[in-house]
Amino acid sequence: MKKILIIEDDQIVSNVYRNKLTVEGYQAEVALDGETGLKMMRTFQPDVIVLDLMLPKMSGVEVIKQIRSEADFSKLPIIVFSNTYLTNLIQDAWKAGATKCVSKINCPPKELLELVRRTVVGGVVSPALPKTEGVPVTKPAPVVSEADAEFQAELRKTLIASLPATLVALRAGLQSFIKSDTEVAQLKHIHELYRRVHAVNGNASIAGLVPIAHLAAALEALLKELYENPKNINSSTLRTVAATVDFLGFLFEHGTRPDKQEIPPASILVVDDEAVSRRAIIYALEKAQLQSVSVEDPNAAFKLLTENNFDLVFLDVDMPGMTGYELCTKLRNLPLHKKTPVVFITILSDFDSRTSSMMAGGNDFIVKPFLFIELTVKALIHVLRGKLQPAK
Amino acid sequence: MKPPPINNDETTSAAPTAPSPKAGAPAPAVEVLPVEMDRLNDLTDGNADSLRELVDLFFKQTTQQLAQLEAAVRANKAEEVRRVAHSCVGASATLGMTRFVPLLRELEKQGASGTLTTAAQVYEEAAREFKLIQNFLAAQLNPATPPDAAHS
Repeated sequence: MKKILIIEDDQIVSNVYRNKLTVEGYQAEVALDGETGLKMMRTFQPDVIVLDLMLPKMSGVEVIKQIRSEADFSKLPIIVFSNTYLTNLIQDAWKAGATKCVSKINCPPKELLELVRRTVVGGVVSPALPKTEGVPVTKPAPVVSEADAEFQAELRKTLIASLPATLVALRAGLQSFIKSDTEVAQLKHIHELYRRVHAVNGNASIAGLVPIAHLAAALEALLKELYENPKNINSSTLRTVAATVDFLGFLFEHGTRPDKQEIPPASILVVDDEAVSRRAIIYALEKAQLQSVSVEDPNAAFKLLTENNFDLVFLDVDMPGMTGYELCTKLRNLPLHKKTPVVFITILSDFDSRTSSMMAGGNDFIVKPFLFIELTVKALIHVLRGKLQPAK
Repeated sequence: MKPPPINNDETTSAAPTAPSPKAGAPAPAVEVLPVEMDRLNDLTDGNADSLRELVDLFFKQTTQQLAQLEAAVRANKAEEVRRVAHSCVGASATLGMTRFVPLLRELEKQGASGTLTTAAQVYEEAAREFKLIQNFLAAQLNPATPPDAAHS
């Protein structure tokens, strides 16, 4: 019997994985933190490790480094669960020696089973077989059965029932963070909020609640950034965190229907006269797989807006020929864009001109230099709200 | 104070305690690098090609903007100084050009005030800083390239 060690701090997630693996005939054990995981590895001698990157006591990357430093485990397959928005961390995991990095959001329990099966058969544990991804497996292919669907539906039902209490806890955590009067208290409350959001991400991922999992993953990455770089805590990032917690409440109410479990394709327009900022915005949107069209000339942008539907518009404020405010006022007169969300991107000194942005018909603004993940989070909120808003 | 990397420790407080400064001890000098590489790497997801593309774009755009700034300062065109410096600040701040941004902000401020009192001097500092950024990024992107030979 092949042995799988799961190193994952979320007890719900780890138990779901363990149960699924056990039912499939594996011997699975769980460690709730990295240090315990390393100790168990030495005694349990697993064939595969399934590792969450965000762990207590010792980070997932440190765990990988330690595993690779021990001769007996230097080639042990390690499947890493990561947050798709923490790209630097994923790079670090690869460099440290991860065998496979997968996003929790894209890896519900049955996908994990398939991945483990392929790794066990094609991985280092069976040297006679090639390690190549996608080799035919000798075990029967996973049966995507009614049982799987029922299992997922049951998970989802349980999680949905707990969402109101989760929202109360998130709001309480947000209030504590916002009201913190010292940096030490602020960091403590960010960390607590981060932990709650991390749990929401993990639970929503295994339950297949895709929009909730995506937004929670993005918020988790933003909170991690703020915790590790407190200089980035400002009125803009605080507003974004608050808006995201608020929008999670919206998703808890409107984003759990089975037919809403995907990130819908969206059309986004970026208008900025300066090429580097345009490119930065496009990269930030791509983190959430959001495609965009960008233009430097506000008049060309207005022509595009006249002829096309967009789900979201990012506007620089200070542009030659026509300011972002003027462009926004004009687009509000177009029948297509009376309600299209418009987010102004403004440098810090413009931040007090929020009245101008609202008067022009803007919905939101973000301060340059923006955190890329902050822009990603804002884009996700506006796109998802537009797609999931109940028709009136 | 930079906190330790985030983790999910249930058992210990995440909030680090600030060390007590020693009485009379001078604060240690912290070297500020010209570019926050973490920021650039985060934006480009560690992809070397994307990073190179973005850096090339920044060099090209900023070279043009500095030329415009120099001309505007010489011609004492305050509004032009404000406009170009403002645009340059946006890109430079977005990409984490830590020491370059305050100089551009000063030029923007003087331009907005209509009085370019020390603008020529600030421009010279900004141009020097941009050269340092070019050398720094060239070394990051291609460690084998002698810094002074890059993007000169």
